[in-house]
Formats: sequence, structure tokens, C-alpha cells
Amino acid sequence: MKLGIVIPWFGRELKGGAEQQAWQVATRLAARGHQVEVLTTCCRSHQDDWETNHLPRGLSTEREGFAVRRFPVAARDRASFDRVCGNLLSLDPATLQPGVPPISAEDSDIFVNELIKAPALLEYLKESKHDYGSFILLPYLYGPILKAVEILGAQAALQPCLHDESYAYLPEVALAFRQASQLFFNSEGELELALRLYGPGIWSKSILVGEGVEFDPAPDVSNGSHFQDKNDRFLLYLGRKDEGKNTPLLLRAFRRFRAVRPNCDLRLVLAGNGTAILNGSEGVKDLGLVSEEKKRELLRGCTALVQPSQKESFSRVMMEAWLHGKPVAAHACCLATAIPVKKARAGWLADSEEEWAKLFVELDRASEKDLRQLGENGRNYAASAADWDLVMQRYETALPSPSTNEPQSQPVDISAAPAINQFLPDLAYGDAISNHAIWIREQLRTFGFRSEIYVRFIDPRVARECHPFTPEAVEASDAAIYHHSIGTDITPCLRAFGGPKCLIYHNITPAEFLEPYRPEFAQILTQGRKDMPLLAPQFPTSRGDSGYNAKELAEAGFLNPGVLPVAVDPARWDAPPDYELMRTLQDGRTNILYVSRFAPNKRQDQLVVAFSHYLQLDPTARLILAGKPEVNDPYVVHVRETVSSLGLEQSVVFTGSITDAQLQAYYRTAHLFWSMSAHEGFGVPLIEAMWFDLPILAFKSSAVPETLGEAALMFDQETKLVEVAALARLLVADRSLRDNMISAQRKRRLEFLPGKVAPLLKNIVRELSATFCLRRA
Amino acid sequence: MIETTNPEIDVTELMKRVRAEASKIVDRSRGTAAGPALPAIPALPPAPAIWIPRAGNPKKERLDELLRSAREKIEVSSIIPKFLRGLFRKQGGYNRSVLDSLSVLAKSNFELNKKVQEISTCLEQLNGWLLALAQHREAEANWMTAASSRIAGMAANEVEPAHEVGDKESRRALDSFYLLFENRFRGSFTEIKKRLGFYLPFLTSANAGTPGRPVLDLGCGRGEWLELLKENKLEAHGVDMNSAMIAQCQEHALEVIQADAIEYMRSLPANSHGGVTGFHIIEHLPFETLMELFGETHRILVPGGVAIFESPNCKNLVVGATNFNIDPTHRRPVFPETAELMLQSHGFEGLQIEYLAPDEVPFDDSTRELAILKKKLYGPQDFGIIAYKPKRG
Repeated sequence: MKLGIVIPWFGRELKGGAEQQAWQVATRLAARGHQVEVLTTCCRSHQDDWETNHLPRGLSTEREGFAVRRFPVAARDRASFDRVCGNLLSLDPATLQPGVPPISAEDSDIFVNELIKAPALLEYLKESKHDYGSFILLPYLYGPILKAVEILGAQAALQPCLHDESYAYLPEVALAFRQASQLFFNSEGELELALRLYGPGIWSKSILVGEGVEFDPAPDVSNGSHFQDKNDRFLLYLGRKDEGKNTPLLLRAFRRFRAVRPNCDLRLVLAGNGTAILNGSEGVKDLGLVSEEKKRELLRGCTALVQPSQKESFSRVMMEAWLHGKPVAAHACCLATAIPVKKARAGWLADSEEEWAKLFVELDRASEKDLRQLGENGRNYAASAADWDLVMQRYETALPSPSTNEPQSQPVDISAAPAINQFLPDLAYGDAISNHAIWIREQLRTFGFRSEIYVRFIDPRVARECHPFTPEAVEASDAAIYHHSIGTDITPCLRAFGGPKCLIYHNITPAEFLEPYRPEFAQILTQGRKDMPLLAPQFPTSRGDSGYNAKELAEAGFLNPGVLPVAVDPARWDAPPDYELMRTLQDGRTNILYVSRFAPNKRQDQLVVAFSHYLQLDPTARLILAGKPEVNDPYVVHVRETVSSLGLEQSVVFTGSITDAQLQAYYRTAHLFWSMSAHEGFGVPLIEAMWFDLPILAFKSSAVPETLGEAALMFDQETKLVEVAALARLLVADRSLRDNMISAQRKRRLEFLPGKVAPLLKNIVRELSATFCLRRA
Repeated sequence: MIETTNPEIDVTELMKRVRAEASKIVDRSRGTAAGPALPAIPALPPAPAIWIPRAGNPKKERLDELLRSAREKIEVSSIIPKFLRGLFRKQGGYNRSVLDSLSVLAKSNFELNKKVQEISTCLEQLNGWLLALAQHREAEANWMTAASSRIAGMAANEVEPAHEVGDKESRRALDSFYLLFENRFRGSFTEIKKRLGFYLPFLTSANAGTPGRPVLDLGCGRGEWLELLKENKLEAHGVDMNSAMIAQCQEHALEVIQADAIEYMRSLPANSHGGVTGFHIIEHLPFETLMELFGETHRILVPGGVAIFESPNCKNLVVGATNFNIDPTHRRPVFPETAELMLQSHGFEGLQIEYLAPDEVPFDDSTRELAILKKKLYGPQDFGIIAYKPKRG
């Protein structure tokens, strides 16, 4: 099947990052035997008039062995577009907030629709998309690309070439990121930015393909004749010289540096398009645009490369410098350059003008040996990250292989397949166990079984997901999975069921927590625990959500209980957050979040008290208690009274019952996830918080240490509340502590991905089906 | 206890920082324990729908026309028989009056309509203004909410300003220096104590230092006087700003307080002390402060209570021109008679100036000239001024 590459402008000579990338990918994929067709417009380049068709329409073939199909561009409302674009460009970057549209919906619409217009291209895609296996679309910014993603959906791999600019905050762009079936990123920093802007919902389909850099290891034959003498020390800037690339900052900083060290021989050399206002800066030389050969020569001769730009999705020159064994100084706020510099330990980072000036001093002092070492580190990093062969391998792995592109075979008739059904007391919207049950059902269906969920109480919002419980439904099952917490009236039916069955234990809250608030319910809990040993002989197969739960099962007499953790799939969040909440919550106040239903064992009351201490250090912070409080529940009343007795009504938010979109907004805008919970069977919100990169501070109890694994930072009963509050403050305010936490959490969360949990579910199915095969036989 | 499974986090180090942050919390909650939250700004109820009356159509022209045509019909027709004409004329007069009344009413109706029109316009304007006011008020409320959180933020981030810390440090250093200075130049503890014995009788005669009539010593310094009073079983306490001096007094188990003398006196009840003394303090104060000090002294003394102040005697030229400058914290000498007048002006009576501590004369003062010279150069180095609060009135 053909691979389509969609890009607004395309040509051998085009200089832009995305255009070059497209050329390289097309050429190299063609060279590796793929049938590649580039779909683009008749407009020559980004710099030309977007309404003029400079190039002939139709199909042509490049000598590199791939086809180019061009479509005419159409007239557009230039005046409106210019107005909106002007507005977008004039926005203060500091006011841009993820998930909050920066301009009105009408203007946003104009921006997307009145940029370059290629209706014929879109029409063609609609009609002929099935002639292609998949498409790579780049870059994210242009209307035709955003619309093409919508048209191509499951076939679309968007290669955004994203950087932090106002366009990236448009809701239409966010939508395209969600609609694409795959996202290809050029650098870790770019992926990081995308996750920050669009949330963890895109994680599962994000692939870091990287970008290659052509390196010509030709020996230095110039003898330095083209450029000064050999002992001359200079810093090199390669690229366009304008505000967007941050060159004025570079020059100002260099002037400051020279003011401090007027006699220093370290100079700054600029090479590239555009004009730099040198203003008689001492020690700065602007060479203008230079040839490739000259560029290599400069790279060989420089002390280090400086890359002050904040708007990069991938910096080619940075990789080129590293391939030449030269260290790089990059802007600390640009994720795409800062992350590799840090990771490779191959240079320096600076932020403000002052920091850059200091950095020059440091560079001036650096010993030859240190510079060489940093450059060498860079060379090693670039050799793997920017190697075209490795990059192309990543493309090939990511793109669906030709065989899977064949039209789907007829769906298998599974009406005769065995039915593994699930039974639980209730199914509720947004509830972790309910979501888990739904996930298990989907898995069972993909394993080839029939599978339904039967519950006693149905939340109308999830009514489509389940059926009312009947004893007949149990009897009609080939095998049953029973989710157990406290016993209900469905328990006897499941006990009586003679077929193969598995009990999944979600734990029973110890009664002592409930005694002071709801003694009648505490009795039910006590009874629930007493009944456990009675269930044990009836369920030869059993699982706990955690080792902690499995241990309780074993203590109750269950035979070899296993562990089936709750699968936490970040794709659950691949939907827009609540915009209004996103706006309200990003008001500069610190947001501390806890997500759970209200219950005495969750200790929201203690959290409120600890938070009152925290406020001494961060008086405008807010505590968000996300979870549905039951009306008139004595514990909820107690929590509310605690809040008012401490005078915290303005600082503590009770969200009430919320939608997934609202919960996403709370997660995405929070700075800390703080749990005082004294009893957890598993703790799904802990893993969710990890997906939103919230540092987690948790009380060490029950299954919490197990769930947090290698990413735990916990306190115990002995810790004073003021100390816990102090620790919370450090987690909010201390960058490096946060980073340490988050990087451990990023590893930990992978353990609960559906792909990790599915095999464990398969084991259960294997145990069950062994029995029912016997029965059937 | 805090624990982590993350190998990148050093718990011991973290715990140190946690304790430091925690102590900040404790400090701040002490400071703001009673800090009430800002009162919430009450929400403005939504503006009621204001009904603006519209002026009706007075139909003036139509009414005028009707009246005019009615008037034309009033005249008695000639076809009416004469004997009936009187009757009709009467009817005509009645009709005319009715028509006149109607036209007056029509006019007033028209005027009223005009007024309603004006009131409506006025109401409309007022309504517009009220809506603008409500918007303005909402904007202000938002502004205040934002401002209060920013202020709270700033307050939280407020650290002790560096210069204040510096001030405290240097204050302490200065205090120690002054103690050193006193030890070097003022004269030894014993010597001073002995010299001050001179004033004891004044206290005794005024019953100062007896129960209920304690003596307050302003600027008590190393506590020579307080110790002397203690030895004489007189009730007394002292106040001084200098921490080093206070520490020394406390070592001698003297009752002292570290405070600014005037501020401290302000906090004392009136008529509460039998005596107020101040040795070598008045020359440290600016004129206005000194006046207030004498005023406060008068206020806290019981009727019949005694005030004693001692200061360098600038009538001695060596003291006035030279020695006075030994102490870098001296402002200007207080002339004895000036002090006397100041005390008098505050209502003190029985004033008495005592010249003390004459210097040794290095020559024979047998001649008149030498005697004058002796007085000018080697006369008393200090003077004491004793004053009483009148017993009555």
C-alpha cells in the first residue's frame, strides 16, 4: 500500500524544518523500498503568495523514486486572516494557558480556514484515502493539515513539528492531536510540550521518531584559511537572525559579557539569513548566509555553538555541532533543545540575558579538556539520536506494515463463543472499579469471548455498558467473574453458580473507620469480612487488585490468590478537558488535589488540617477535594465543619459530582497530589496522578507503598502534620525534587498500562476456560 | 518519618529542609494565629427590572379641534322660539363653562404628559448609570479579590528584610560597645554607686521606694543606683534600651526591663511611682523628647513624689567644651536652669539644683582670678536637679 505524505509546500530546495523533514523522509522511505507519494499544493513555498499556483497541478515523479501530487490553492479572506494572525502573534506568551483557547471561536475558525486553502487536496483525500495505507501529515499549524487529519482519522499520523507558540493553543489544533491515530515527534522536548499542551491522553499514540542530520565526516582541508587564524576562539550562532530566534537576546548578553571582560579574545560569529543589529558590538561578526562547506568549516573551528531560540521542535544545528564534537549552549526554556543538552551532558543552559552573559564567562574560562569532553558527549548522543538509519527504522516500526493495511477480514461470528460475564453490585460513572470492569469486558471480547456486565444498581450515565442482574444471567454464563467488596444479595447466586468462576477482591474498608460516623454501615463491613472465609472454598480462582489484597484473600482461606492490578490507560483522557475550569484553575494559585470519594478512611478531614498548615507557606493555595460527597453523610458534614472551623471556605474546593472532562481539568492544572488515605486496596487516582505528572505525597498505608513502587515519597503516623505540610510545599516549590519524583513516577505508571495487565487477565481466562472446556466436553 | 523508594532523593537532606520549612509554618502560625480571613465581599443582588413609564399620547390637536367645534355649536340658534331662548342661553353658559373646564384639563393633561416624558428620560439615564455603577462595583470587587490574594502572597513571601537583620546585629554590637565605653569612661561601678549615694536622702524625705511608691530609674545602665536602692531596701525598678546593660543588671538580680524609657512610661498608670530618677540620660535626648519625658514623669509620680535627674554641668568649660564629647551618643548639654524651667513648666515645684563632683584643682586658687578660673575650669562636673510633684492640685 502507498504511503502518503501531506504537507502544504514541498520541494527539493525548500529550507523550512518541516519541508526538509518531509523531503528526507520521502527520499529515504522510497530508498528503502516504500511506495511514497507526497500530496501537496501548487503553491511554491511558505514565503510565496498562498493564493498563487506557481507549480503545475497533477502527478509527477522525483528522481529519488517517489511521486508528488499537487493540488491548486484557492482564494482566501486575507484581510480577516491577517487580523486574527496579528492578534495571535501579539499575545503575551506568559498569558497562554494549556487547554484554554487564546482567541474567540470565530477568530480561531478564521485562522484555520483562511490560511492556505487547498479544497481540491481535501476532496481528493476524502475520495481516495483508501488507496493509501497510511499518511504522514506535517506540520501541525496549517488548515489543510488539520482538516486532513479529520478526514483521514485512523490512517493519519501527524508529525506536528510543534513548538511553544500561540497557534499551538488553538482548540482546532488540540482536536487534530486527538483525531490523529499516531503522533510522530522529532524530539523528546517536543513530545513533552505536546503532553503539557494536550494532556496524557495522547501518550499512547505518541512515537518519538527523532530526526536525522546528514553528516559529512570529510576531513578538515581548509587549513583555517577561510576564517581568521586557527587559535582564534569564537562562539558560533547558525540560523536566521530575528526576534523569533532570540538573536537580540544573544547579542545583548554578549555585549554585557564584553563589558565585563573587554580584553577577552572570545568572539561571537553569526551566520545565516536575516539582519542582526550589531550596534557596534565589540567582538561580534556577522557573516550573513554561508555555504554548506563554510558552515562545516565554522562548526569545526568554533569553541561552542550557541542556540538561544525558544521556538524549536528539533534543532538541526545543535545535532550538527555535536556531530562535530562541539558543545552547545541552549535556552533553558526550550524543551526541545534543553532536554537533549541535559540528557547528553553536552553543553550548558541559560535563560535570562544575565544568565547568558554569565554563561559566556563560564565558556571563556572552560578548559580545552572540558570542552572536548562535553563535545564528545554530544557526539555520542547525536550519533544515535540523529542517525537517519535509526530514525527511518523508527518510522518503519511505527507505520502499520503493509499486511495490516489490507481491508479488514469479515468479523468473526462469535455468537457461539463461550460467554465470560462479570457480576458486580453496581456500575457507576467515573468509578475506578466500574472502569476496570468495562476494560475487562473489552479485553474478553478481543480474546474472542462473549462478555457482558451484570449489576444490581445502574447509574443512568453508564446504562449502555451493563445489564440488570438476574440469577438467570449467572446461570447462562459459561464462566463468571465476580467483583467482590462487601457482600450483597448477588453474592449467594455467585456462590451457588456451579460453573468456572473467579473472584476479584477490591478490599473491604476496616469497620473501625466507619464506626464513629455510620455504625450501621460499620456492622455491614464487619459482616463482609466475616463472610470472606465462607466464600473461599467456592472460588478456586481468585485475584486481588494488589498484593495487599491478595494477602487478605489468602488469610481468608482462598487458595493461591493472584494479583490482577487495575489497568490505567492514559488514552482515557484523549478528550477535551473542561475549558472553563482550565481557565479558572490556571489563575496563578497553587492547586493541591485529592481525588476520591468521601470516606473516613480517606481522611479528607486530616488533609484539610494539614493543608491549613501548608497555607502558612503558600497563602493563596487551594485544596481541591474531587469526589462526590453523599448528601447528609456524617463524615462529609464533619469534613465541611473542619473546613469552616479553620476558616478555609475560600481555600478548599468541594467539586461535587464531576465529569471526566472536569476531572481532567483538575488533574491537568494541579501542582501536587496529596493523599492522607489510611486504607487503600489499590489507589487508582495515584496512578492517574502519575500520568498527569503530579508529584505524589501519600500516607504510607495498606496498598499505597505497593502501588507507588519505586516512585514513593511517603510519611507515616509519626510524622507531624506541619512536617507533612512542609514536605508538600517542597514538592510544589522545589524544581529538582519535583523532577526527581516525576521521572520515577513516569517509569512506575507504565506497570499499569493495559498491555501489562492484559496477560494477567489472560491467565485468569486460561484457568477458567480449562474448566468450562471440560464441562462442555 | 518520611521515607522514599526513589534512589534519587536523599531523605536525610530532605528531612533537614522539611524541618526548616516546618519551623517557618510554626513561626507564621504564631504570628497569624488570630489573623482573620478577609471578610467576603457580599454579592450584589441582580438589578431589578425597572419599569419606565411611557408618556401617553395626549392627542392635543384632536381635543382642540373637538373643543373648537363644540364652541361653534354653543351659540343659540335663531330658530329657537324666543321664550325658550333664555333657557337655551343658560344651557349655553353651562356648556361654555364645561368646555372651558375641559380645555383647562386638556392643557394640564398635556403638561402632565410632558412631565411624564421628562421623568421617563431621567429614569432611563439613571437606570443606565446604575447598571454602569453595578459593573464598576463588580470590577472593583474582582480587583480587590485579586489584590487581596496578591497581598497575601506577598506577605507570605515576605522575609525579614536584610537591612533589619543588619540593624539588629549592629544594634547588639553597639550595645556591647556602650557597656565597654561606660566601663572605661563613666567611672567604676563602685565609684558611681558611692557618688549616687548623695541622692538617697531626697528619696527618703519623699517617701519614695516605700511599698506602693516604687522608684523608676530611667536609663538604669549598669544598675549602680538600683543596687544601691536595693541595699537600702527601697523598692525600685529600671528601664534601659541597651541589651548589654540589661544583661548585666539581670546578673545582679535587679528588676529591669529592656525598653525605650518614654514608651515604657507611657504604658504605666498615672500616680503610680514615688520617685523617678534619670542619671545622665537627659543630655541624650532631643528637646521635644525631653519635654515629653518630664511630662510623663510628672504624670506617673504620686503627689509629693520626687524626680531626680543628673547631667554633665556645662558651666564647667572643660566639661562643656571637651569632656561632654567623650560620649558619642550625647546630643547636647542641658543647661541647669533650662532644665529647671522645663520641669517647672510641667508643674513641678520645690526645685533644687545641686552641683557635684568638682575636679581636683592643679593650682592654688588663692587669688580672685585663680578662683574664677578654678570655677570655670575645675568646677563641678555634674549637676543634679531635684523636683517634686505638688502634694495637692
